[in-house]
Amino acid sequence: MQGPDRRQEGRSIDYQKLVADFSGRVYRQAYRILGSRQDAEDATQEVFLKVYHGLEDFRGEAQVATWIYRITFNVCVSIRQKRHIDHESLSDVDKGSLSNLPDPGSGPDERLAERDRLEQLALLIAQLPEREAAAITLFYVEDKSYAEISRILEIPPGSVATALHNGREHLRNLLKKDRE
Amino acid sequence: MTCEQFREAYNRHLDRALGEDELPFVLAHAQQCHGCAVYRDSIASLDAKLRHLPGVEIPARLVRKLEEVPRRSTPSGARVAWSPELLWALSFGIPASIVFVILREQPASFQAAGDFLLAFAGTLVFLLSILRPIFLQGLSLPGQDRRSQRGDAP
Repeated sequence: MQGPDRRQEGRSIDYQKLVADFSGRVYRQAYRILGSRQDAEDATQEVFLKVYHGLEDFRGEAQVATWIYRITFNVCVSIRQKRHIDHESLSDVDKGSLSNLPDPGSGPDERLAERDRLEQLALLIAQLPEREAAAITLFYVEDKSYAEISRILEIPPGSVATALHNGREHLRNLLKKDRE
Repeated sequence: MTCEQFREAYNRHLDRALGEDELPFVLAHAQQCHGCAVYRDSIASLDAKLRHLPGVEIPARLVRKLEEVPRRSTPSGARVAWSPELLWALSFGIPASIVFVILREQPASFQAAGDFLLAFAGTLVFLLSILRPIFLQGLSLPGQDRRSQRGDAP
């Protein structure tokens, strides 16, 4: 229903509350897609600048979360294009640290090593093409469904499935290449 | 079931998008095909790791910076600082300046014109003060109206 309060709803959204509710999620998503804290900070600032300027126009047709995640994805894509992030290769540091880690065990050292290993795996996500990186992050980190990811990335649900499958496949290949 | 179909179906299983009745058929294929069994183990292991990715905390100083955005930027809706103070300043300031300058420069020969201007300025100020609410409303609305007519989604 296109009620008269739609625009009012958009204007009444409290910016400070959005920062409190979404800044962590935006930063996390940006970090996973970009693989660098500095880039994630830049992206988060740009996203919230856009959110602030767009709040007045926001008419509540999309969920606020969907809207903010979509802005985040677009900003990350733009930053990656500017930075020319290489999707195919890992840096030597990443490769070294991944292949030298011991197998996970139950002791504190092993748990720390396992955490490092997972962190390195997370960094590999940033090597994926944008759409795959975003789909993987939204699905695994933000726990979003096919339908929600589809709305955020503005692609059909079938393409979300493809992005997730291809993303996993690419990650598997990157890990395999890393072990060789 | 082909190996290609197995991979596609197993991925859907990992995405929790595979029907429960389909799963036994999919797993049966892996029992017969060594390659697909290896694939299933590696992709399931990757899936488990992805579900346990470490959390990332946003730096507190970044949150503070984000909270300051409204103070550091002008929202698109308030594109011009048409504040009431500015309107009042314009309403009084411009006519008063004109009258003052003319009367000061040409006190004798333009006395009549000065009187006329003074009366004119007074009328202008009066009219502006009456029309001020309409003025303010008119200045803030056009942008929003255009956007709503275009049906822009943010």
